[in-house]
Amino acid sequence: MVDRTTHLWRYTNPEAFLAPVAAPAAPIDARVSAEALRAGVLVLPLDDCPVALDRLGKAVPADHGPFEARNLAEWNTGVAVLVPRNVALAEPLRLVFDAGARTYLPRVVVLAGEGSEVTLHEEHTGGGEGVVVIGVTELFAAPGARVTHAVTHRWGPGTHAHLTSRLVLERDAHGVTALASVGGDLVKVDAGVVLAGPGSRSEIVSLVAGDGSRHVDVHTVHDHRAGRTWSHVAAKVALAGAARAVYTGLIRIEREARGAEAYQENRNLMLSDRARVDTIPELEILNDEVACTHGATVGPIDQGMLFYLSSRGLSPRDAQGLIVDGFFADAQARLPEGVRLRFAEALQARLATLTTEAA
Amino acid sequence: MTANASLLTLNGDYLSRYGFSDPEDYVLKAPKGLSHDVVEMISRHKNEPDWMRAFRHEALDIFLAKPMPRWGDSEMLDAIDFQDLHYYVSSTEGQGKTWDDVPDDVKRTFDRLGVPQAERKFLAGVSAQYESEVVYHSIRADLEKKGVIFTDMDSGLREHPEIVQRFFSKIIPAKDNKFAALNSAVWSGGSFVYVPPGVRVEVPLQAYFRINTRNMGQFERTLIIADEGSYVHYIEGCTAPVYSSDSLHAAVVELVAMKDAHIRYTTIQNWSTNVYNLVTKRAHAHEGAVVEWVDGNLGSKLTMKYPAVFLMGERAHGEVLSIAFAGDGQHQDAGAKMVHVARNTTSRILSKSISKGGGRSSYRGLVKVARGATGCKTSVECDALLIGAAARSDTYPTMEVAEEDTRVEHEARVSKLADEQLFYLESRGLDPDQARLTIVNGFIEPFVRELPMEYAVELNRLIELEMEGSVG
Repeated sequence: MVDRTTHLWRYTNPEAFLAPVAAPAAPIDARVSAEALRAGVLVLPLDDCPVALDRLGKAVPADHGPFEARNLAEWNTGVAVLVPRNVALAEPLRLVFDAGARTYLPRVVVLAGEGSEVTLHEEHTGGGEGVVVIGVTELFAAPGARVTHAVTHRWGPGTHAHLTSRLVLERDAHGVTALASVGGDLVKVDAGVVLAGPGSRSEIVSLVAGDGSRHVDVHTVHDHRAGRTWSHVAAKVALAGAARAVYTGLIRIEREARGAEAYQENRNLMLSDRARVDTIPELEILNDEVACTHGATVGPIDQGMLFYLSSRGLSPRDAQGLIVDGFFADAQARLPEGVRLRFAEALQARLATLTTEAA
Repeated sequence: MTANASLLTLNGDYLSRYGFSDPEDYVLKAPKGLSHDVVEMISRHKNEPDWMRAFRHEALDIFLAKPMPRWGDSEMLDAIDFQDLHYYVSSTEGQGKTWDDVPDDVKRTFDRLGVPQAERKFLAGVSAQYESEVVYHSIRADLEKKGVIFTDMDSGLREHPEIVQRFFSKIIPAKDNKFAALNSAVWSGGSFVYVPPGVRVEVPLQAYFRINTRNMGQFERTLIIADEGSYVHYIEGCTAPVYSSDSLHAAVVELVAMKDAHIRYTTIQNWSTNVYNLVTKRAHAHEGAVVEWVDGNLGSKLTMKYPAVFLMGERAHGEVLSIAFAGDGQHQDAGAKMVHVARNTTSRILSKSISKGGGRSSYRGLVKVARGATGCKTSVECDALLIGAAARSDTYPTMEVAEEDTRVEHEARVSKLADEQLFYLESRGLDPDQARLTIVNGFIEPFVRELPMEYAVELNRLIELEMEGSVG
């Protein structure tokens, strides 16, 4: 078992994700467009999809961690998504996870065929006092595929959630991993991308807004295993009340990954004197043919900006709202269009309470 | 020879180039191994007061109870055999009062280090630690007149028990970490410095540390107290002879900068590549005080060292400026810690590292801002240079911020020697070796310019030797 001396558990108590034996849960609600069905996209219960079951545990094996192991052994609802080669979908595929069971263990396997293009939007809702969610998503992008994995957290108060994802990119594949976390009391995310094939590219955009006593712990990994790979992380956090955010972001560049480029930025906006931020942006570079930078900042709202907006007639609350909006805007601009709007909507709902509490 | 092949053999001639050792000649040498008996023997041999003896025994229990750290470099740490080391060696009895009293073989060692006689006389006090004890110690008369105490830690304990007992282990308690506990149990040597209120020590105080016995651990204990409004610059330089089996160096350095005092602590560490260098360094900076750690790590097999400043009083400022050079088989796990406890405190960390051949350098740091410590500003900058396909660089900065009204910034860059820079320099007529050296010198310049002249020269010479022949 892990404890507070384990690296990724320094700031979040693993006991928060202990949950009773899982009962069967409702199926994941997949909303697939007519376009996708026509193109031959398959969305099936995981149990009924041998191709996907073949890959189960390949990207997130049992030894990844105790909660990943539990999900693998006990998942109580699962879905497989298969996108045929060279199929490009304009509309996102939506998977709605309604955490109804006390112990909710969803598992998702996505196989994107060669040259395909797909956006998968995981919308997490439901939950409540005493509900524990432990989810794992594995995505495999064949050569040249473009996969966007967007996740929104909109659980109700009291929910504890632990979500792990791994996206494996083969040669020349492109990945976008996007996270908007606005709901749930205690949330831990481990979002990783393996740049396994030469020429693959990945972007991670993580947006976290918290107030009250919300606790969000985000870990991102860019694991460069092949040459000429490229990655970028933008992790943004705005905190009000006594909320707490943790970020650990690892860039690892293996010996074979010559000519890799990796960037990472983590920005934290403090809207309250009771908020707390812990951030560890990590680099592990094992060869010399690389370009790599990271940056992290923590600070309050710029008083100059507030003053300027007030002088233009905005109330302190509106001014603050506008600044927080702007804080997230540049990262949102990195998202594909289909996701951007939904993210903006999710954030807006939370930001309203965030700035009320702060102002 | 290809560029890469010659890079890998760099430092292969360490023995002939830097290595030197003198015949062993000791008055008292503890048997190998670590036990309460050894601790008792060290303490009795030094005629220590009861409180110190009790402190040592308690620290040994802490050391034995604490698990080995699971971070840093577990593989290398686990390879240390604590029972295969000598924990105390006394090389001569008593101390030389003047240079003439210093034994010839010790002087010879210093000659090999390249410290010119004239320079030694010029410098205020050369407290040269040979083995575990200070054998030579002189303080310029005017420092004595000003009431500055600069002595070895053992004499400090004997002659100034009231100051020592007030501060000793108060900054770094024995239970702080496993190696601080080990040092607390078996420490010997190190420096004790006290600067009275308002006194500025204009010339740097210096000490050389050496390891010179097979399998000998060296456990210096340094305590520097700068009283209100005073200033002192302490320089610790290390060069170690080459030995075939591993040596352990676990020092503890405690600094106290009282109100408005200013301490600068400069280290140039160049242990031979079989030495474990596991050091705990921490300062308390009180109201308006400034503490600067200038820290250069070139040698050793494994260095784990994170100089810290606890900013305890308003407007205190902490600074760490460091470089690390990791060649083949070396792991420099170095960093810095800034803990902001008081309001309006500021800190800056600038860390530069070079990994060459199969070398690995890691930056591991902490910036912590406590709730209520409003108006703090802190910036961390890490710059890593990689030379060779097998070089490795890690960055593990931790930032813990529990206060809204604060500014925390961290930036890190990792890159190799830039081809366009090399091309430009070569087009100006430099040969490839010179071009590389010029770029590396430019890279470490922000560090070198903070060193006293003689150290800057020595460091540049070392870097030059390390870089020699890096292009075939």
